Amino acid sequence: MKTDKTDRTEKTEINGTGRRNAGGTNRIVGRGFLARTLMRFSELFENELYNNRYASMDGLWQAVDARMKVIVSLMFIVAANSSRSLAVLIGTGITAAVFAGTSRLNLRDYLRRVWKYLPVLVFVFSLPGASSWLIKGTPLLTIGPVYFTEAGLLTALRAALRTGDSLSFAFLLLASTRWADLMAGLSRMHIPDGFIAILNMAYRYIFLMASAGTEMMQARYLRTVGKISSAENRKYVGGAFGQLFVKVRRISEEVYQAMVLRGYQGTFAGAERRRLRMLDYLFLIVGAVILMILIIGGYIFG
Amino acid sequence: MHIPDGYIAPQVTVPALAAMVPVWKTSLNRVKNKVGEKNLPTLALGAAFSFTIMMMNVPVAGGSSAHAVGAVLIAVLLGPWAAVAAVSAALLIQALFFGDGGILAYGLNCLNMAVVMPFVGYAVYRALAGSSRPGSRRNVLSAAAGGYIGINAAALLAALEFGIQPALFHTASGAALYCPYPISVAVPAMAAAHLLVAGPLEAVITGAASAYVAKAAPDMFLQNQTAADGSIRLSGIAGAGADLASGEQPAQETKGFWARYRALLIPLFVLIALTPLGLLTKGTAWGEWGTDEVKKAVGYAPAGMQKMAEFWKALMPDYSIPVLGDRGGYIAAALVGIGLIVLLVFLLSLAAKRSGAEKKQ
Repeated sequence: MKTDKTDRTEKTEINGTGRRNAGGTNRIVGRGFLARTLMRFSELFENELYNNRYASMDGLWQAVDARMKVIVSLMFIVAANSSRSLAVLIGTGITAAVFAGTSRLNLRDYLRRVWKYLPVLVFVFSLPGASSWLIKGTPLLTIGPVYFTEAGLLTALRAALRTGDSLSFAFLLLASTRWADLMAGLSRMHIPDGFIAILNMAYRYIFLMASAGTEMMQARYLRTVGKISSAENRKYVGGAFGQLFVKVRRISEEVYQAMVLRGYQGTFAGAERRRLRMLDYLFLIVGAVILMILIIGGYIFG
Repeated sequence: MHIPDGYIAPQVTVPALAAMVPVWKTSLNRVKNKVGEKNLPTLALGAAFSFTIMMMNVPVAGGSSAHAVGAVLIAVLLGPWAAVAAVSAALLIQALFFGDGGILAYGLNCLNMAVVMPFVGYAVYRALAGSSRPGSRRNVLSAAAGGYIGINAAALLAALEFGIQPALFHTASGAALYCPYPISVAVPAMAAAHLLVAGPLEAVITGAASAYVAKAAPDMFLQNQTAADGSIRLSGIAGAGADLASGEQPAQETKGFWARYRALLIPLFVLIALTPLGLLTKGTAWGEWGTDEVKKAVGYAPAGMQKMAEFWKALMPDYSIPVLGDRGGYIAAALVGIGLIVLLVFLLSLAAKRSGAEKKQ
């Protein structure tokens, strides 16, 4: 049985809460499953912190009603995903970046969270499929026994750009909107109240669960001495899931009792009805005009 | 397994999203029938649990690590319908928070990981476990087998979704417009990864977690075992809650499902009905037909469309500007287009600032 040496031998520095601080000095370093899980949890807290900060800023997207933001985001995401024109795909990405700038999002953070990882991964993952192995034609670039045609490279580029465009608008939407406002907006758009109530409540508890998970992983790390087999570690994580479930069920029971004591009878309070303002309509119109410009661009550039 | 946007055509992702709406509704109703008004905390905490376990890495052989999905585990512990709602909610938060899984592909991801995976896994578990005692060797192995087969069923479906893309959506020369891998590549690749790595991981996790719950809190396990059959109601406060709920129907349920959601459902059904048309349009992305293609498809090219085409040609003859060279027209058009977009966004931003200032006053 292979052993997982990385978790104990790696140099891991974890601060008290499992979060990375702003300066990045207490970074969680390592490649083992414990470090990776802790990194992921810290990313959750970090994202939440940034999102809250962005959502309270005084920018363009923050000023607009959540409903319109959802509609405009979906408009751009559908357009980008339906289009095969590079002009439309690049234009959508530029539009999102301009929106991010006018919404006072940190552009470095924006590029890191949107373009740095997933679109690059999708591009690389698409390369074998975009090579002469699957797409034949006139070689544009030859690497060893395989070559890439223009059409092949375009296929990979389109997939990456579409992924980035979708991520851009999803990020813009989440970063510029408080979760409660986003859910209220979705509720006004006829998404079932039951589903919204679940999302709202789940959102509150994911941080509690993440804290519990962080504590469990930290405790495991601190208790571990010597090498532990990979199979043993898998069993441990399985047990940890069971432990979390027991915790969740107890919290769920307590939450339910607290709700009943506060008069809960199975109905959910509907979202507050907010009137749409002139700016909201203007936002929708400008979004539609930009989309038309992009589609015309796609027509010109092909 | 989380499908990103860009790999699947919207002609497939949007109908999948539409198809999930009644499934979510049914899942909420089923859970409500089972645990009464306790459904909200059960599902919300179930979603938080699902989200958390998808964040936790599990070591795989070779020193690397990957994350489990845990949908079968939730189905075994809370029932498959609860798993549908809980995993769906977790997937949405994940898509928004981390970009894991696309926005348009959300419906497909739910179909694979929140419907097919828990139902197939749960069916396998029930078939193999029989009347065995939770925590017994047979029961734990059945849960593990459910996890293994559940994730492989979901992966197979995802591979088929990937694999049909190049056949349905490609350019005239045959280059794929979305996922480039045909079924002959996508299915073996996904199957190998899930049969050998992700499947065993899911099996161990599902088995170990269900064994832990059966040992540490057997009451919880048993409650769900019996409640899943619908034969025994939950006891104690849960039971009281269920009785209360069955006696007093909440006000929002008095309006029928159709009456409440027809505004949403009618366009969705129209969209689903139109999907086969979308699938038949080979070579050109939806909505990007040239005048020739429109003429071929409907017999004539709309006059307005032809006029537009001529207008653009007249505006930029051969797309060249003498000073800028052959490609100059393109560059100028791009600059004008981007300039216009930036200008519009800045004007809108100014309007937002003024609107914000007025609001403060």
